[in-house]
Amino acid sequence: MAMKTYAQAVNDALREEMRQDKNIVLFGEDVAKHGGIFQATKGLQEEFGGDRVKDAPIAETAIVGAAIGAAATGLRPVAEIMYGDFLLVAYHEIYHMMAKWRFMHGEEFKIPMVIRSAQGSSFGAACEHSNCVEPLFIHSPGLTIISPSNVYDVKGLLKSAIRSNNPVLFLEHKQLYKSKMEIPDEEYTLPIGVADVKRQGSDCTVVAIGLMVGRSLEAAEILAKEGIELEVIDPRTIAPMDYQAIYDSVAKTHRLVVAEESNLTGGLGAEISARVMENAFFELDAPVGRVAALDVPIPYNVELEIQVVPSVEKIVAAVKTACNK
Amino acid sequence: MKHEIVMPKAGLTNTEGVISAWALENGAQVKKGDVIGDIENEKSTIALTSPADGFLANLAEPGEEFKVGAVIGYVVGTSAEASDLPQAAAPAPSAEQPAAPALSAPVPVAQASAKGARKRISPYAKKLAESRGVDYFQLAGTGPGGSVVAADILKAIQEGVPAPAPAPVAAIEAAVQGEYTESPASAMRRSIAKNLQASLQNSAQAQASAEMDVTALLAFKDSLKGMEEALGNKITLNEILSYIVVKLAAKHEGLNSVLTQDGMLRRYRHVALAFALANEKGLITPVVREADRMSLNAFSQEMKRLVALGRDNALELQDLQGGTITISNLGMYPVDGFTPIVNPPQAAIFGFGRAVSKPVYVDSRLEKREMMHISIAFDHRSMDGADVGEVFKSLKALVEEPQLLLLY
Repeated sequence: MAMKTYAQAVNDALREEMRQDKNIVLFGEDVAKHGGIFQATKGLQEEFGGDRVKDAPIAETAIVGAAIGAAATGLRPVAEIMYGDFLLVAYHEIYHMMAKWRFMHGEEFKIPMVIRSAQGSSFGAACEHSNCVEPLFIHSPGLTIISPSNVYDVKGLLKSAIRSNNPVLFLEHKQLYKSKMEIPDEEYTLPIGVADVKRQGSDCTVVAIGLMVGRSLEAAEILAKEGIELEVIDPRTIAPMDYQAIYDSVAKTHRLVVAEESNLTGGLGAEISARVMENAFFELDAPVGRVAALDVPIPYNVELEIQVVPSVEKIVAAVKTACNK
Repeated sequence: MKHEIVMPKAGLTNTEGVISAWALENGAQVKKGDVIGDIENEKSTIALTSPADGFLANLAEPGEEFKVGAVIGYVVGTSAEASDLPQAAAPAPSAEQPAAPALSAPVPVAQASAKGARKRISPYAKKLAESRGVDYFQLAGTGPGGSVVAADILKAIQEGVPAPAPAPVAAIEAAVQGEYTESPASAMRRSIAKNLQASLQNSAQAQASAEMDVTALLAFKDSLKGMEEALGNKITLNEILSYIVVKLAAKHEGLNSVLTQDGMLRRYRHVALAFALANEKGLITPVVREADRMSLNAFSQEMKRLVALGRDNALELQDLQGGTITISNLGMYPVDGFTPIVNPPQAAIFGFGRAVSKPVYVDSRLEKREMMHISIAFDHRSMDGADVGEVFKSLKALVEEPQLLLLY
């Protein structure tokens, strides 16, 4: 075991995979010489050279378009779009081409590519640099979307994403890059499309995404003191989502709260609660609770930002409401 | 103009049915033949259709059991007439009352006691209450807005709140004492219980059985291997055994008869073979009509059609009615032999056990043979032991020399 940060785990995953497959290439803004804004690609150009690790111009459409072309013609690109918000500059490329070209072109080729991007709130980055974008992309069938919530998961899932022949949007969280965890020295991968039960409990299920997984685990400790045992499910893969794991948990606890950092309206909570209503209605003992970012632009003012982005307290309150306490 | 909607008769012995659900509400405009609701009877759920054009009025409460022929609602000519009719009649005190022109007496089943009232309850709590037989209408809810939540049901069970008020079985008050649980049996389960008990009480049942050598029969089945394409079908052992019973019933008229209540011996012209089929709701007996006119292949395909529909609970009423003889096969289980109960008002039922390899003396040599217990339960009022003996003689011939199936 070794103590690693989330950023180091990303770096290790990229390095290990690039050593095993010379078709893997890396490009994005400041990823090469600078090693990435969060230092996740540090040292990779030194080891793999300028042909495989390149800096790109500030042109997201060109970065994603180049990756799609490279993937269609035989490489396995891992493109980086610095912030999740900037993915929208290349929305058309991702939503239509990256996700759907296999189908448009009758499976003449595959698009084995990954876009890594850093998303989420980070202490006053304001409304163009703080969003969680999963809901904007789950509406495009064809994309695999992964949102790892800790150091162990980010490494194992990134390796699987790179090996996948499907196009993957890999959404890292800005606030997690410096988080630390002991992870195995040995190589490992984690399965795509399989949820992880981060904590077992009997009274209420929280389906938590990304940064909210840690906050839900904190909430669970507070609630445990009040006699409420929380089950925390981390879907890890947002598309395709492991709904069965959610139904199974709801069948056990009969209460559900969804905690996400995207805006409430049209968020993941809307989709998950609709599915649970359709498939596990008679297991529900309370309405499904949703904890999400308020439907306002995320404020620059840090104090206001704290009010907008879901907190541990908000998760605790939502669980208590679900538990009728 | 007023047309009565009556509880349909679902089979020869069907006497009651339950309204599972109305598809439409009072006042809804309907055309003759429109599906207006579902009826659950002893065998299946069937669609109820409107007897006339008009507007639905005075529909009886879903979940209640009514005698066949009882009026369970009306179709009236105008929507104004619909509102003029009195609201659904209260359940009469006794289930023994004959069907009256107004709504007849429903046999109360353990369901929510407040007819037509609404109660706020979570979906899970409702499921829990129904599975444990708790009348949640009587509970004060502690959930949001006074709704009943699972905790209220569990507390009620622990504290021993009585099960639904007009309960058909007196013992229900003990249901919550912790030693066991009770919940209302389905209409189908109660109907199976009633019919089988009535069968034993109202007929003179006797049994006979024999262990038969089915080696040749199995070889016959195996000889059909490779012919599936030509036949368009794969014929199973169960289908061959059933077909043998069809041939027996065609040859031995006592098997294909009914002793009517007025003392007449009614002999059916054709064999309608009913077969016992377990599905998630219980036991049903789909019927292959005019089976005596079918080739083995046609018969086998018809059985397969009925099995597929039966498993999905999608059989039509006519597929379940009019059987003249029944078979029950437990050969897929480790069961050697059993004596089934005659399916009234028929005269006989055959039971098949599993085929087992055994050492058997053939002439004076020991040989490995495939042996099967075959039994019959029959109504001694219409057949005697010697008749059954003759039946078994034919049965033995057909089992040991299945090529006779071509000649019978």
